[in-house]
Amino acid sequence: MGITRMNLSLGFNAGESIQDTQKRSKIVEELGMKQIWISDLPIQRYPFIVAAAVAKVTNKIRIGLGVISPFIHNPIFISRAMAALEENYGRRFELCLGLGDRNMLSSIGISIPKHEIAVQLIKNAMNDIQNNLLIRNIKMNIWLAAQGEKTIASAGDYYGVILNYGNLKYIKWAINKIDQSKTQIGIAAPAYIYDKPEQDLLTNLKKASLTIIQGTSSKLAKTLGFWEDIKDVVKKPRRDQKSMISPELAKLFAITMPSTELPNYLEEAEKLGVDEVMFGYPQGSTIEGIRTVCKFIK
Amino acid sequence: MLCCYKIIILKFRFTIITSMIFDASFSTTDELPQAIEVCKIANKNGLDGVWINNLMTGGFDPFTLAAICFLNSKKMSLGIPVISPYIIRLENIVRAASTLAELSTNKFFLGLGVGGLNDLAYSNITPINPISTLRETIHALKTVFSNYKNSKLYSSQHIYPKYNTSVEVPIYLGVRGVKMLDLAGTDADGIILSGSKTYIKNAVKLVKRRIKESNQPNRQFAFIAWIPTIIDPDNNSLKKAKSVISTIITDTPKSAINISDIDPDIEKKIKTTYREGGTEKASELVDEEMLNDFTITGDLKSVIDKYYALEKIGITRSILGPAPITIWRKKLSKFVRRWGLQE
Repeated sequence: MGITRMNLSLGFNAGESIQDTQKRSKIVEELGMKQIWISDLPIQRYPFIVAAAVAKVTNKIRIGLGVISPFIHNPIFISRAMAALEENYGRRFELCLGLGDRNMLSSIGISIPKHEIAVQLIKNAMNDIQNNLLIRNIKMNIWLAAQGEKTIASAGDYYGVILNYGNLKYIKWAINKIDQSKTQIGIAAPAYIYDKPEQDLLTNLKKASLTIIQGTSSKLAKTLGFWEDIKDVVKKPRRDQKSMISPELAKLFAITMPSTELPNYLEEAEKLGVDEVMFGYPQGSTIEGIRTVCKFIK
Repeated sequence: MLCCYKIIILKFRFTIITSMIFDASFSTTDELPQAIEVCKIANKNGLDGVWINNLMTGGFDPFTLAAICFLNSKKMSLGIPVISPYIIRLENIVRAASTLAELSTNKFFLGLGVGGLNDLAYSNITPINPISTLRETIHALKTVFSNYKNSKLYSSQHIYPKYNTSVEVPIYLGVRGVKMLDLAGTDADGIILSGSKTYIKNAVKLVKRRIKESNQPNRQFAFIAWIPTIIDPDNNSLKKAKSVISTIITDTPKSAINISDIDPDIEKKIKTTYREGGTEKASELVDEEMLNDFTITGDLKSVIDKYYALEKIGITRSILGPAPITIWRKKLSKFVRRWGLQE
């Protein structure tokens, strides 16, 4: 059942209580997983504080922060927060930079420039953060969160690229555009791997998938051939969208299947050249979900 | 806690916490082991907590640093003066403050202000409408902290914090100008004062008047003084104090100079020298009289007496620093014991 090469990690939602996140982090570490990721949205807790709380109760698990948007956090503060974490808890932090959810950014008054400019600004932020950290002799793995072609094109400048969808058809499309000799490839998507599916978690999976759908450009959706599947959803007012996500639609963006099918999925992903698979919310939100995925760690 | 709270209900129906509380301080540019050491010393000596002086020009993120301190010592309180909404986005202030309050079970204090000249220059920011910006920031924060689903912070009805932001975070203003003091008196939970003793005395009077006029029964208000404190000063610590004084004077607006006893000619000289030659040159202009007026220095007895005088004018909390507390840790325990006796 073990996986030979790929790293498996779990994504934790910074909307969940600190105490509960600490408890689940300890379990993840005890079960042998090497990395967790802490999410960041403007409607969630401050991720660097959550990361400190997790680091305090764990010993060696690597802690990734992301997707951190330089449009929400000034790169100076990102590097200062990461420096504080690294110097106090040891060299076990990683960072994933990305644009962030356009709709959500717009709702808090942040307007995103044209895509090419935004991609360049994220790259500038990455360079600033790296340079600021190097002053303190900290060398950190900085990933890029990507979906569309223009963002993927800059993947070679980063330690790795994290592709924000779980469907292997789309992963294959993206990987063909990346020079794999230069960069690590990761997948991060809403996930629910189950032995017996629970309704609450299926509902949460649909909500998480909706966030991906809302953040996907129509151009990318057309390129990858799923525009027809989502167009009716994205054209509806936001409040009505949740009820329109069917399990089939969620599957287009999420990693969801019975646990018996996961080895095949991972084998296929590995064949494509994927180095890391991050099981996003809601997989890590329950102890049962954590145990289900941790069974597949080498 | 150093001493008990005594609540006095004054005839004009607002509540002031009396009997001074002491905190330690360090800065975001201090090294982490030193910062953690300050927390330990504060804890061991019965101080209430620590404050992190947030400097834009370098160091660590103040919120992450605060989290690390809380995770090392959950008993203490911790505050950050000054967080500027011109430098840090409002939703990040909301998220960081509410997360720190959760982590510490409501032992976090948030200091808001426009920001020092150095910090604003470093960030290339010219503050526009500072009074209304700070007022709106206080109101937005209080709304989120009291009812997280009803905030104008987020423009869409469907976007709001997806976690419980109902926390108790006292909001203090770290400001100097007279209009800002007015704002503190009407809208904030307290004020952090630094400057000459005459200025502090007049500022307390002014704020008390505004509190009275604001007619908000049962309102608690903290008067916090942050004055360089040096017991048995040596040349090095006096040099550091002079540098702090020159920065304070440079950051002080005209309206605040008017209610202090700073000689306008010296003020002008210090401001010009600071702009042209930096802190070091400007601090050379700080004379003995100013040193005495802007700091609390001397032997243990005289330091105690000066704090006692501050308590008499209405200061409820004092932040010891910015002289490195680690250097006078032995003196601190003596100070704490003597202060207890003084009561």
